[in-house]
Amino acid sequence: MAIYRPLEQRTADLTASTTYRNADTYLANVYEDFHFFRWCYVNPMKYAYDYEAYAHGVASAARDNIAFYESMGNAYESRKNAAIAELFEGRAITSFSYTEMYQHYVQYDFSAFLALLICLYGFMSVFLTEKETEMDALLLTAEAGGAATVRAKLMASALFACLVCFWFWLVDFAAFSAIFGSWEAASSPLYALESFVHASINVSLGQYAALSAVVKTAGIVVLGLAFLLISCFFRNALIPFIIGLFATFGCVFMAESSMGSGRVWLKAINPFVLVVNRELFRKAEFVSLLGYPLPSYMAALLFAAVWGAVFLGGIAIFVRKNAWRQGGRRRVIMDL
Amino acid sequence: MLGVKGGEGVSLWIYEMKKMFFHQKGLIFIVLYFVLSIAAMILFDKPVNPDIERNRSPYSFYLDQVRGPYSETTERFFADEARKISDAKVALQKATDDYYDGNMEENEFLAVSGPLENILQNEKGFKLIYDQYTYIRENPGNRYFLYTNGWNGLLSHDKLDFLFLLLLLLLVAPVFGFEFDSKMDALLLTVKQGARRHAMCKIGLALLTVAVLCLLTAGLRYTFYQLKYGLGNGDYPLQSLSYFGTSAKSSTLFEAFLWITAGKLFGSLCFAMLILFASVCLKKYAITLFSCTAVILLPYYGLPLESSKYFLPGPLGFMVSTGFFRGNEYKRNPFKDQMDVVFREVSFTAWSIVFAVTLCLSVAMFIVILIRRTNEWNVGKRSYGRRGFRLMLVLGLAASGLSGCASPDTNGQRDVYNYSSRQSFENERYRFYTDDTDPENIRIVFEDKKTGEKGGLVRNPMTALTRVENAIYGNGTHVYYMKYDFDKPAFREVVDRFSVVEVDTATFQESMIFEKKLSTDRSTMLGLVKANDYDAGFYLTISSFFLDDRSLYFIGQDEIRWVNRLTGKMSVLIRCPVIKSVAFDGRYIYYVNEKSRVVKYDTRTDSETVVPDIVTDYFVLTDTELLFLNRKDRQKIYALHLGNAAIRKLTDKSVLTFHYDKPYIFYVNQSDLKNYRMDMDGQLVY
Repeated sequence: MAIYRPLEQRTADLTASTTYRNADTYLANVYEDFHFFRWCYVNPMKYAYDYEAYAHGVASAARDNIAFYESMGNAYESRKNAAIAELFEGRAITSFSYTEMYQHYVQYDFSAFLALLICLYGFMSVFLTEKETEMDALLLTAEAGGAATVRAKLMASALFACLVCFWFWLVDFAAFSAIFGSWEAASSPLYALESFVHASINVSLGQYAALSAVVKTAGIVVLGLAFLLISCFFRNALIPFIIGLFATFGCVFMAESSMGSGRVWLKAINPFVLVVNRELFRKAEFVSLLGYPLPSYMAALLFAAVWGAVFLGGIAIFVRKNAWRQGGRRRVIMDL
Repeated sequence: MLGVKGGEGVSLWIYEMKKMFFHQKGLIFIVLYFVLSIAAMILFDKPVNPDIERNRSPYSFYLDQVRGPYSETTERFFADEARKISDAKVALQKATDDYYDGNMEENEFLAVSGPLENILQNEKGFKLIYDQYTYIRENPGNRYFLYTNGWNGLLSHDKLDFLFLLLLLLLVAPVFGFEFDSKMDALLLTVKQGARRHAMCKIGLALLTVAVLCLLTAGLRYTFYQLKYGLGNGDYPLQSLSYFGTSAKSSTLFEAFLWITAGKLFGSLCFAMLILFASVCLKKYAITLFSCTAVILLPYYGLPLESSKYFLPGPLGFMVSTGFFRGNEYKRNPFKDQMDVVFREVSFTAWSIVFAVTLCLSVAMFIVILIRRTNEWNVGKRSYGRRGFRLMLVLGLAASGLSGCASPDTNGQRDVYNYSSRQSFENERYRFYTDDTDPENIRIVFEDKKTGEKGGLVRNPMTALTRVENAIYGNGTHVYYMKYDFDKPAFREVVDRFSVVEVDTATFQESMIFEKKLSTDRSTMLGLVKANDYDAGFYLTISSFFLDDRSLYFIGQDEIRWVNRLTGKMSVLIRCPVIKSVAFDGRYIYYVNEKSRVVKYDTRTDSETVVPDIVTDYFVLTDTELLFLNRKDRQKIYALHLGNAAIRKLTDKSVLTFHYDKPYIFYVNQSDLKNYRMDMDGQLVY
């Protein structure tokens, strides 16, 4: 403030000199100094300082709402506000830190697209290489064929997806840290980022980076299962690859058009939202599950689990059909 | 197919074609592609400047007069026309005042106002053409006046045709790839015809198919835009479109289209060659498809600068091609106080180098394919019948997932909306109004009529990054308000969404009934969904709204627009220089036009009638009557019965303004500026 106030006064009436590289300025001229301090220090500091009061205001407004909605007989909203009050209670940004790295890191998702493409490629050959050489029929006659093989394939696929994803997330994180030269903000709370002002979880930025990586990976595994299921229907990789690509773009399109939307169900139902999970953690949103408020990220994870189960079930059913034709190994099927 | 014994060059071609189009279901995919892309064009194509489409006739009235190059005459025309319009506005206002004050006879008034109205009826069109004029004036040499939506739709974008990309992959990858699948290659080496000639034949067929498809697609797009918008004045310079405004290349619009098509053709052929090359070298579908899509999609989505992809040798730049015609573009960076490059022009030298390198690469790939002499074919006896069906099923599911469900049609009595009371509403239990006692915290509040209990209507405790507008609309127990959501990805807040929220006041449960994405520049993931600048501009100027079961009506600065609640389709319903008074009773919209007459617009039949014998600038609609300040009788309050059209006088004094609060009318007397209250019979109540 000792630096900022004089600058503010000098620029207030817009008559200060614009001489280039003055001796007493940090940057080119006094206006640039003013803007630099204003946008990079004063405004973020003000936000950090005001946050405690704001969070307190939110919590008390939510508490007021609990009683209000109870008197209205709206149990769901009352429970929802209780959850909000609990979430915002005691929130404060205690130390000011340089968060620019995280600001960019949470917005970056091109690597996820890359990882998805690689998984699409990798998963195409999981079931198809054997089909191409008609080895699948032969495999079913083997002791460890059938269910055991399929299980092993699924495990290997999941492992592959996780490896690829974590490699990418690690490289991203390292690259961003290197570019911005700091990770000092790792212990700051997530809501230190202004677009996460209503963050739906109380974690630190460092924890969020880890959590986000896990959730992203989960999203990609679910989409990967979809690719596997699609590939089960075909005998070579051509058409499943195209359908997989088409479906991916469909999911991205849906996720983009529902981004920031208040229709939380629409957001949560799309497994791709796990990949761009800032959408889930940016805002405390709830969906109603039998009258109880369920945070949007829980809903999205549940939906993703359902999708995953559906895809797994689909794979199991398709494999069964194959096994049946090859001479019926009922116990193997039950295992699946 | 092993029956090809050699010597019959033509039959080789025929067999290959048969394989490509029938055995590998190429024909089905081609048909599917055309069906999908036509459907996508019909469903998703939005005009670049929707305002022009909404004001087509006033716009073309002016366009027809200035079409072509800029000249002294057009400049004079614009100056004259602008003066004429503003003069006409003043003159019409004066004539109206004179007439209603009794200083002018009706015949005289009609004689004066008729021509003036004719001038004013195209005012909106003039605004649109004037925008174009300001653009053209920057560089009059190569910017002409023309109707731009058609050409803009055809040329002004750098979208990659994703479906076409998939089609190429589907058609070209199996040309060689199919043979590797069944290990025919070893066998084929023993066949006489299976030498270089066969490979040439395959490549030739693939390239020919791709070329034909590419040209067909270009023709299809041209036809579509020709039919939907019209592609006139193809001989005007390319720079007439603002997308190419700073381009240094001299070309006409139609030439540019031909060049871009040629570029796309070249790009597609290179891409086909790349697929063939990859399939020959890598021998597996998965890796072939992966590497080819990666070559295209990664630079397309991954490069931060829009123009970088045109500097990369490879098929991508040519498959889009439009960027080769664009000029340098800059955007002001408010923090550094300097211009940032958004698009760097591709110079002719750069283009030549990129073209030469791409061509060399393609030729090299062609030679490699021939050297490897991959000359085998496949019998292919598998059942693919289900594939097409499944593809259809998946697409069908996707399509049905996108479609909405119809809203219930209820025809109940609706509460009356008045523009003058857009900040308040009253139902049986509550009164809602805007509480501006605290200027720091203006909010919409409700007041329980029995208990006098007060509270905010918007109960959401998380208020940051959201702005609630002070206009509400109510119908029965439901109250609606509108809000803007913001996001703050970096230093500045950007508006993200506009939404209309319904509050059921029985339980104060909120639900979203309409949403519109407004962010136009924030790049989300792949940037597939973007809002239109013109639409976003309108949503930011909405001052009030009302709605019925199917539609929302937004009151902007000088127009009322209708928006379909399900599809978000928007059109201009009413145009009026100044919105003075508007009311809505669930079916009819009443508003005051520029001649101070009340017009009744039927939203079901889209027809309007002028309510006779009323001259006013301010009215309020009640359930049975229209209360208005009578312009012809020195602003006294009159009431028109909606059923029998009987008019009665309520006050004997001139009134400045009034509002209706059932069952009383509150008014401000013009002479002493004091507030009075009276009942519906005109009796003062103290």
